[in-house]
Amino acid sequence: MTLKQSTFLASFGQLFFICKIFGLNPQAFGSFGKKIQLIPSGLGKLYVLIITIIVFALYNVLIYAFVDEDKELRAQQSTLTFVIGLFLNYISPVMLVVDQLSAIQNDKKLGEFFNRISKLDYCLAKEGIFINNTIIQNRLFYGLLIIFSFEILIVIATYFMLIDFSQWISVLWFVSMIPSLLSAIDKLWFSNILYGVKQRFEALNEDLESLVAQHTKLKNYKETVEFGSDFNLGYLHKEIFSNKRVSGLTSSDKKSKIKPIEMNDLNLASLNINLKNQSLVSTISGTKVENIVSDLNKLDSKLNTICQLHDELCEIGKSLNELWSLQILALMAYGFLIFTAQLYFFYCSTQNQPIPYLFLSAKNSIITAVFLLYTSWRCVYIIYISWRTSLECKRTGISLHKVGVAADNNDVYEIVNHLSLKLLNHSVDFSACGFFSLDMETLYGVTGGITSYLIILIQFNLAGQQQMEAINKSNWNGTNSDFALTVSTDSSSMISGTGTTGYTNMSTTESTQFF
Amino acid sequence: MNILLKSTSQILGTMPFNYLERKIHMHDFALMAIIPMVYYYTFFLAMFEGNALMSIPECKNICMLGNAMFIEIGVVSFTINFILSIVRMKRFYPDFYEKLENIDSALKSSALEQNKSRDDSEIAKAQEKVEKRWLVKELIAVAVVAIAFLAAIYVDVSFVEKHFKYYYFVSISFTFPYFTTCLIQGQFISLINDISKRLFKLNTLFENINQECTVRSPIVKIFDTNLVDPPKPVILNNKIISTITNEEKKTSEHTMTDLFRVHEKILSLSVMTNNEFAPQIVPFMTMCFCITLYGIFIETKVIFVAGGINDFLDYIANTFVIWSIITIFVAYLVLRLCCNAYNDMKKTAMIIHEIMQKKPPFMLGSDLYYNKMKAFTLQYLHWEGYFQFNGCGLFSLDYTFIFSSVSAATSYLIVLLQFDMSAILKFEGLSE
Repeated sequence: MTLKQSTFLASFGQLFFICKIFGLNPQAFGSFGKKIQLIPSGLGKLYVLIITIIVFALYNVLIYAFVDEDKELRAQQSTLTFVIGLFLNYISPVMLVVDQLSAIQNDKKLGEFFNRISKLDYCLAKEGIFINNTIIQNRLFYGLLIIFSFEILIVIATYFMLIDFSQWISVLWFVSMIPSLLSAIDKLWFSNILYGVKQRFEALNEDLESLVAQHTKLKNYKETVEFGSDFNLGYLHKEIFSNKRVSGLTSSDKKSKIKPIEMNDLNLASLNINLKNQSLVSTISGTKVENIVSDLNKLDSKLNTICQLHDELCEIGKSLNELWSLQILALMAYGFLIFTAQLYFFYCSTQNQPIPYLFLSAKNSIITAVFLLYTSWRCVYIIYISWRTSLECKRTGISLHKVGVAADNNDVYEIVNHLSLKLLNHSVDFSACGFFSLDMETLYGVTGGITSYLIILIQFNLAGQQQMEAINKSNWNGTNSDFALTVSTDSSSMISGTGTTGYTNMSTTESTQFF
Repeated sequence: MNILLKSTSQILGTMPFNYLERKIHMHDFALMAIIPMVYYYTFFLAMFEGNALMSIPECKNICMLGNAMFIEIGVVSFTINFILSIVRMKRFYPDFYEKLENIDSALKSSALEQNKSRDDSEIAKAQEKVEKRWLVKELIAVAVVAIAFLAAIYVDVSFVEKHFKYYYFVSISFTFPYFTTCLIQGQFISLINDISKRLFKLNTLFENINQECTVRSPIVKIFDTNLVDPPKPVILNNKIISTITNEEKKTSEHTMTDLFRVHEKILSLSVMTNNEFAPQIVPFMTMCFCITLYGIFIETKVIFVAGGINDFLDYIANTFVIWSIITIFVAYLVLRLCCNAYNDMKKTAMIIHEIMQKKPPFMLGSDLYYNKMKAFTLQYLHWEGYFQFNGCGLFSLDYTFIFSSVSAATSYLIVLLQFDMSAILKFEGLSE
């Protein structure tokens, strides 16, 4: 029963330290170190604001520094691509600003939120449920590792492979990474707190399951000694009945209040049942089971507390969602737009069309793949964990009923039915500002959305290309030697009726090898 | 599990041998290692060494795109399915069958209990009839799928025989992944089928109790509220009620608790099965969607205009159509069985509600049965929120999925059919 193991907030120490450096959390640094508490501080807010302004300014400098590079694009392309590009340029700094402003707004609430969780943990510990917080620490470490490695990998690869790094201005390219990096780190708070909530839900469910196991063991045991075969007897009647029988059997034990288990022990000894049953008895006659069984009120209060804890957890989940709802909305918008844009510009670059400078990474297929993987991981992980948490929350009702069925006793059924109705009304559904719920079905919808937008964009692009061809009357040769891309691109080259290079080249050279 | 399905999937390396044993022997996995290796080798030959259709000069742009797409979709879905099958190892099947046996024994014992108190041969007959119908349905499904597979292989082989000598070998890379992924779905289908059979049995047992409730003793009718003349206050003490109930034929409501437990077990078993197979269902559905789309596209835009000119093109189009039909059929089976199982689960709750409404004699003595049944229906409400057959939560596996995928396919097709193909067809010499 040691409560010395690290608290929930303490496991976020590493993350808090990094967030303080990057100016993501406005809370006071000193108080975290001393008391492990998140206390709002004015200085911290100022620092966050300054960082935001600096990054935003730098990002603007970046955009204007590279605006010359896009001249060709503006000249050659329809305005569509350019406008989309300009709009997309600003999505990541906007996301950053949203993050930072909400962090400033939430600085007080976050501390209160963690206090709430620690109170809940205390209540859980009273019930004998302990949560392993070291898992969170590990997850945070790996999360940070993944984020940093992916961001740095993408930026460095793009810098060295695609940018002319002889000019000093190209160093500005590294600024392009900062907004998405910062917001990714900020989301680690959300996803790991959410994971903690999920852990607590799981612990509650496990506790209920263990109750079920105890009751079923008891039930089996009772059946083996042929006790309580009359189904219609209520639990209390059984107890009275059993006491009577015992008193008839052993007159010496009259004064001590005999519990049914003990009686059964006696019975069993006299009946001399085989070893297997005896081992069963030894597991059952632990003090915990005895207490629960002998005292219905205890079970009642136990289930009641679990229900209350569940309610509190749901409320915690809701307030967590409120704290981060705006940021998540921004992240999802970012994910959707950037994913579509990257794919579209990747298509454009395979057709040798100019693309906006900030989406330079789309010129290389491997960087694009890594980037898409990373972006989708950021969005999908949050959706996935929200979905899992709300499922876990819903499972509690089922486990509660399992206890009822296992005990199979009228009073327990009454308690369970009463609490079950309560649980039906507790639900935690995560949403992004109420625009859409964070579950896998949304992901399915978004995937469909991305595909259909992509097809529409490509069609516009094709129409534009055909128009240009008609004007220029020049033989534009879309050469795509990259074989890995041919499947995705060949449909387009096929349709434009020009690029037939991919497979015909291969077929002529390699048809000789055909067995 | 169906013997045909089991043996084919074991031979094709989608399932280990001795899958009911928990212990892992390497030789059980021998075919699971060899067959994929052969497949990947042929894939390598077809894709990078140019030993397949793509290398033939007659096979031009559209044909080649179709070929590459078919092979690549195949390899992706095969790889995902295969890895997940390996991960499943022997962990899943023994658990599944153990739980199933557990359920079976519980069902059997409560059926025996119920038969003690009643001797209805009609119900047994009805059940036999239904079981026969199940068997016929199963056989029909297996036969249709088997015939479709054979037809697909026949088309492949007859074409290859006509044009190549050694293509047989490389041809593995072409249709093999589709075959195996369908088999894996078949495993899922057969497991769901097992579950649904148990649910059906459970429902008949509940229905028995329900039937018993309709036969009311005249004394109990006194308690009926909707009598013509207002009932006089009847003073009945417990003794009289107990004598009345004792005189009656013994009823089987005491099996109810066990049946509730069985219901709960069946539901958790379905959750387990669904979670195990969902990551394989998602790529399968995606694959089905993709090849169907391209199949429709190639049929309407190319074959409709220039069919019968180029043998290779026709062959590609045929394969697309055949495999899209087969995969759609398999997907339909998955959806249908999941939907049926889900409806059966719902039906149990409905029967319980009916029993509660009838206010049978056993509910008069104490609140126990009322509370028991109320608890069950409440639990079902929780289950409804928690579980439905789904593909990783992305979509639910019922008929709504057909609607959503058809509407998605339509919107894509509208876009695809707008492409002007005349230039390409001309370029390939397929049209004037």
